[in-house]
Amino acid sequence: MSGRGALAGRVMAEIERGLRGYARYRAWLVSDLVSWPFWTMFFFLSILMYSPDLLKSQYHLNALTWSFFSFILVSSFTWAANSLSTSIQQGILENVLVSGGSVRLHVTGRIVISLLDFAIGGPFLLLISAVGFGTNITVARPDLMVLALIQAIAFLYLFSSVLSIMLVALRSPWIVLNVVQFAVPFTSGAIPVEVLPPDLRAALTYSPFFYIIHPIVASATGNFYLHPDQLFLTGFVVVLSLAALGVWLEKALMRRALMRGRFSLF
Amino acid sequence: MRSLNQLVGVFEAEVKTFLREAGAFLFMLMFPFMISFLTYGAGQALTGGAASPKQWLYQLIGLTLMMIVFTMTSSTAWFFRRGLMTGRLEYILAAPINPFIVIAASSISSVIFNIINFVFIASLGVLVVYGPHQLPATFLSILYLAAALLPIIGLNLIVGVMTLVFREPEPVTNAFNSVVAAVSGFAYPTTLLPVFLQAIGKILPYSHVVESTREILSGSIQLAAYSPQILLLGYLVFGLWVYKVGESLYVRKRGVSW
Repeated sequence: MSGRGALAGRVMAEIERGLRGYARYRAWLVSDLVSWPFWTMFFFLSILMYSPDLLKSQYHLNALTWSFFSFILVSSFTWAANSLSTSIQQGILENVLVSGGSVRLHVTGRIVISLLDFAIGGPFLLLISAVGFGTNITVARPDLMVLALIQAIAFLYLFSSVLSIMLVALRSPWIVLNVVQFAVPFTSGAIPVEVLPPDLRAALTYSPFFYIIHPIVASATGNFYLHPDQLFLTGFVVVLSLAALGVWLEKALMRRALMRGRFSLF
Repeated sequence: MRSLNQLVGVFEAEVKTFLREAGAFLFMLMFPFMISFLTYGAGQALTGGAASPKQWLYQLIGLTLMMIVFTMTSSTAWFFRRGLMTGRLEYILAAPINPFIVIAASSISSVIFNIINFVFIASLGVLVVYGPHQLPATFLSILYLAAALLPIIGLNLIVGVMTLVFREPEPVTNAFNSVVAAVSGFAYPTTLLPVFLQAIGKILPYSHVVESTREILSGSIQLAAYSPQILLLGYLVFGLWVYKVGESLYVRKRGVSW
């Protein structure tokens, strides 16, 4: 089989692994359906505690809905970073690598579950917000929203791979992931920038995650902090840089694994 | 005496594991500050600067306790999952040691590390909002938390049994944590919730723990209000019962191999 054909075969095998895993554990779906309404409520009320009157403002409800939508996206992908250390504990990764696979390719299997999680959780959140809070869900720039979502999914796939390589030796990566799933979106524009103080707004632009998360919320509200061209161009550079970092880290991990006989970067 | 030795032995092993991953816990220390500052910033912007530092402390304490609860829940769920995967659970069940001793030792080590985290975060928050004269209250809250987190171990045992049934810890902890986070008043008063969710919040132990901790830290302790909380120990008994039933009806019959 040609190199390209073999790669396609490996990708399909990983995707099949992910789909089978999801189908075998229906608890995933039930868990998503139970948890999203509660997370939505938690997120809305945590911010609106300061000003409960805003529960009557359609603009803020719509902005916060999309803000939480981006949280669901980040959270779904972040948990995929847990899969690598599990694969090592189960002795799967060594076999994958010996048979010519790569770490990033192996994470794809778990990313499929993240995508399914997001595909169910995202629209479900919009529904909950519309029905539960009476939000009139709107998207100011649908064209940019599509672009922002594609960019974010590409970024988060790579981010999840990089994170999994960095956390591979941890016995409890979920401690870090619990924090990362909140820290990344909420320090990067998931909270609509227009409700933040000006200094904080300016500080957020130094985070590379801002160029991935803010375009999603801004496309919905129409309130862009920077010009869309600048946002998407920087976002593209961030995605490319992360891809390069991923390749470099994987090579470093493999070098260390061959030298020390165990998977660990640190 | 043998049980106590076993408890100490497992506790020592768990502490060593936590120490090996101290970096992860340091990372966790940052979380309540980060999120509470963000929501406080949003609150300032939304109210035109009228958000008070006491509201920030309210969320800081709540989010710290939320992380403690999440860590305890996840740690129990992953303890069982790793036990399933590595075969350790089979050894534990076959060994002359009560599995509860192992789980209790693991939970106690988790509680101790989390309380250390709490003391650090709460001291900083109290110092900023109330001043140094209120700092002793932080240490009083340690005594309260050491007792108040016991019912949570009971609920975690139920999460552990559910992990054995469903095999995957993430869906179990995610569903459990989302309900607990929404109804327990960690980041907002439960009075903002619909009445039926307020009722669920009152039944579960978490809202009592977080409210009482806030009262202790602010210096408005009313000992009489704490006595009904002894009833919450019923969760420990209930959790133990569910674990025992799960062990005899499910684990011993179906096995715990992966």
